[in-house]
Formats: sequence, structure tokens, C-alpha cells
Amino acid sequence: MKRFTQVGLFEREEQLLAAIGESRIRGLVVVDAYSPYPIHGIDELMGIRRSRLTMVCFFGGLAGLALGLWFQYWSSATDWPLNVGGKPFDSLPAFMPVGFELTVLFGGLSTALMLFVRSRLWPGKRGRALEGVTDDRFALVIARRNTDMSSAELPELLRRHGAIDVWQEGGE
Amino acid sequence: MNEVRETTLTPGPWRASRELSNGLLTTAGLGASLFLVGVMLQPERAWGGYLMGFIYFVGLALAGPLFLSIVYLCGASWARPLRRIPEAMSAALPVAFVLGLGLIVGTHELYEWSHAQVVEEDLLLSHKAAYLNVGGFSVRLIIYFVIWIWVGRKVVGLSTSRTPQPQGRRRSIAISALFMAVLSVTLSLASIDWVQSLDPHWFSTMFALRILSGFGCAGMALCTLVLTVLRRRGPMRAVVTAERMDDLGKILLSLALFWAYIWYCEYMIIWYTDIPEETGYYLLRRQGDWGTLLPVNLTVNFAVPFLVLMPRPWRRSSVILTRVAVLILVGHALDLFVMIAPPILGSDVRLGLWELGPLVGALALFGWILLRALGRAPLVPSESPAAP
Repeated sequence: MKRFTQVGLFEREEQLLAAIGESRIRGLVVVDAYSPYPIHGIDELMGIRRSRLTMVCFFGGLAGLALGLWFQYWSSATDWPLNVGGKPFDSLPAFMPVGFELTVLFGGLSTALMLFVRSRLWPGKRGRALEGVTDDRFALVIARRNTDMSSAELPELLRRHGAIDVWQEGGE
Repeated sequence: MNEVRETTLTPGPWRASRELSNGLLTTAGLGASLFLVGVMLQPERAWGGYLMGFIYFVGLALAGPLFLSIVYLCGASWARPLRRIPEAMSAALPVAFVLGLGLIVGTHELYEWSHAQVVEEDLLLSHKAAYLNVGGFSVRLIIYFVIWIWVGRKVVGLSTSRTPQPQGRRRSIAISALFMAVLSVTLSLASIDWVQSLDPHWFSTMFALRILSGFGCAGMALCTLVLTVLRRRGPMRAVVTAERMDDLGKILLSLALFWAYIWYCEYMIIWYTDIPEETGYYLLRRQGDWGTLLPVNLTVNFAVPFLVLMPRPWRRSSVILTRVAVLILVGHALDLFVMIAPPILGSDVRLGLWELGPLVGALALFGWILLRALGRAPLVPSESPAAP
């Protein structure tokens, strides 16, 4: 069973921030906030924990570097040694560009893939976007703690901060 | 919300303690006297140290207007509260000019191409003599500094002048662009004149960028160091927030990357093509003790800052940021040492009073000028029509 959530649509960034602030003070759950552009400091206001994606990026990049260096070493020094311009078979300076590229590739791809996995996005998934939040509207989704019932308190709070539209979602 | 808090808590003028200023001035004096003694006893090594100190000094002084120009061109309003530090660094340019005039006296000890006899016997050097000669060297040095001081003063004036400027933003963008354009040409030539011509047979089109990237690293590290110290001492506590330190850390990280990228680009091409007129530079620097300094240089200037500044909590710690800034400043001295000293000292690494005296003295002098300049204006500039 899904939780009842209350959605409020705002016209200005400050209204959204104020509504988030009050929801947090009142002990409500800030499920999510939508904005057409990144808002500075909103993660702190919403109480979102630090993302651990950076660790995925770091270790993905490290794996890419290791793979790049190892594969070049294996192919040009172990498996099929070729004399290129009289350089030693095992030449670190020559391996660096590919090692660097694979670091970037693996770091980027692993981060993007992990982001999709964690946000449960996959090809063919149907999601609904709130209207206007990619254009000029700000949306806030809040819920009450420990209940799946909604009350008049939530829409009232959202309206007080200037929500132009308020509706309920979920709760099948 | 942050902006309001910052502008209301703007700190007033600030003065460094008398002990610190006097200490720096005494160190500068000691360095100068060591240099004078050195000129008598070991002229080549003393002049080598002088050149290192001079280049370091010029780099820090140029990093001031360079940072300001970038800030103006990008419209980086986040940097407004930090602007006084690069402005104060630019105040050292006239003194750098005086040090540069001193360098002209030392050309004979430093540069092979300044000896008429050597040039005559050397085919390549006699071809290069049209550019590499003492007269041209001196005239160019004066031209560089006149341009730098003139345009640099305009860049600094954008935020310090009290009179309202018509079309403030347009003007600041134009002046900043002018400084960047002029600097790219003059610094390229200056790096050839002052440093690259120590190995007069060698040439590299990447060299000017390597000098510039080192200047950027050291300048930004000094900025960060001054800011974190001022933050801990109080006057800038409200201004240098964790977010700002994070930004500074990111810039330092990217500059360390830039430095390493340029270093590698130069090395890689020379290593790969392996032609005699280019490899000489690295042959000398990869032999014996110089060879051990090479990886140390890369570790101090790239690997450590890169790894330490990566985690966000570390960038936001003023203790860690301070230490990395000091490390990069030391690393820049090492970088210059490896660049400048080998052709002077030959195959032996010698780091003694004759090298350290002038270098430390020049840096102390820079610190003294910086502190004096910082005390002249409120530490945090107010809104200015010309600045973002």
C-alpha cells in the first residue's frame, strides 16, 4: 500500500523553500521537491544525506585506470611484445593517455549506471512528470509521519506558503 | 539568505601584527645579505637562487591580476568577498620590476648565451643571438613589466576605485580581456627569456604554459592560505564559509590537475619523439639525484593535492586546506628548483644557503608587501559597479 502524499505547486523558489522549512519544523516528511533548476542549499534544507555516488565514481575510475594500465601492459609487454621506436615494452608514459581515458569512461559510466539503478530508472519504465516543473513551476511533495491518512493540515500548509495548486496522490 | 548575513558582517580594515611584519622584513633583509655574500663567494649559485626567488615572486604577483581577470570575465560573484587578497598580491608587481632590473646584472652568471665567446663558437646560439642577447633581454624585461604594471593596475582599480564608472561591467570585462590577451604573449616571451634560455639549445612550445600553470597553482595556494589564516584569526570568519572553502579547494584541485596535465604533455611528447635537441633537457633532469626529485615533484604538486582535495569533507576542513596550500607552495619552489637549478649546478643536486637565502628572502619580502597592501583597504570589498 502506498502512502498518501500531498503535492503543492508553487510559482516561486522562495515559497518552495519556506514551505520545506515549515514542513520540517512541523515534523512532516518531505518526500521530494521539484524545481526547473538546481537550488543552492536545498539539499541541506530538505535534510537529504550526502550522496554516496561519489564513492562509486571514485572506485569506478580506479577500476578503469587499473584495467587500462594492465591491459596495455599485458598486450604490449607480455602477450605480443612489439618494438615501437626502441622504447621499452613496458613504458608507463605511453600507457597514461589510455589509462586516463578509461579512468574517465569507467568513472562516468559507473556513476550514471548506479544513478539509474538507485533511482529505479530503466528502459521502458513509465513515469509521470509533474506538469510545469521542467519549465517555471516548483513542486513540493510532503506526507505525514507514521500515518497513511491525509488531513486538512497539509493542503492548508502548502496554500499558506502560496501554492497555486494542491492535490493528493497515492494511497491505493 | 547567506548574502544578507555576509554584507552585514563585513569586517573593517585589518592590520597584521607588528611582530609578523618585522619578522618578514628581517627575513627579507637576511636573504638579501646572504645573496650579496653569495655573489662574492659562489656567484653562480647565488644568482641561481636569485632567479628562483625572482620567478616565484613574479608568479605570485602576476597571479593576483590573473585571478581578478578570470573572476571579472566569468562574472564570478561568489569571489567578491575574496577579492582583496589577489588585489594585495598585485601590489608586489612594481617591486618585482626592481628585482627584474637586478636580474639584468646577473645575466652573465646565469645565461650561457650572454657570453660573446661561447655564442661565436656555437652555431645554434649564434643563430639565436638575434633574440637572445643582453640588450634585447633587458629591453624586453622592461617592456613586460611596464605592460603588466599598467594593465594590472587597471584591473585592480576596477574594484578599489571609489568613483562610479559608467558602463562598469562592460569596462571590467574589456580590461580583464585585455590583461589576459597581453599576459599570454608577454608571459610566453618572458618564460623563454628568463627560464627556458638557461638551456639555450633546448626549446619547447609547451614551456610557457608550464610556467603559467605553476604560477596559477602557487598564486591560488597563497590566496587560499591567506584566507584560511584570516578565517581562523577572526576577521573573515563570516565571509569564508564552508562553501567558499569548498570552492577554493576545487579550484586548487583543478589547477593541480592542469599543472600535471601540462607537465605530462611536455614530457610525453619529448619522451616519445626522442630527438636529440629536445631530450637533453630531461636527460639532465633524470640523472642521479635530479632523477629522484622528478617523481617527488609530481607527488607534491599533483598526486597529494589531487587525492587529498577529492573528498568533500576534507576540502571543507580549514586545517587540511591550509596544509595542502602550504604543500603546493613548497612544491612550486621544488618545481622551480628542478626547472632552474640543473643547468647551473650541473649533475649534482646542491641545496644550500646560496639557493635558499635569496628564495626565502624574496618570499618574505612578498609576504611583507602583501600584508601591508591588505591593511590599506577594508578586507571585504563592498558592491562595486564594475565587479560582478
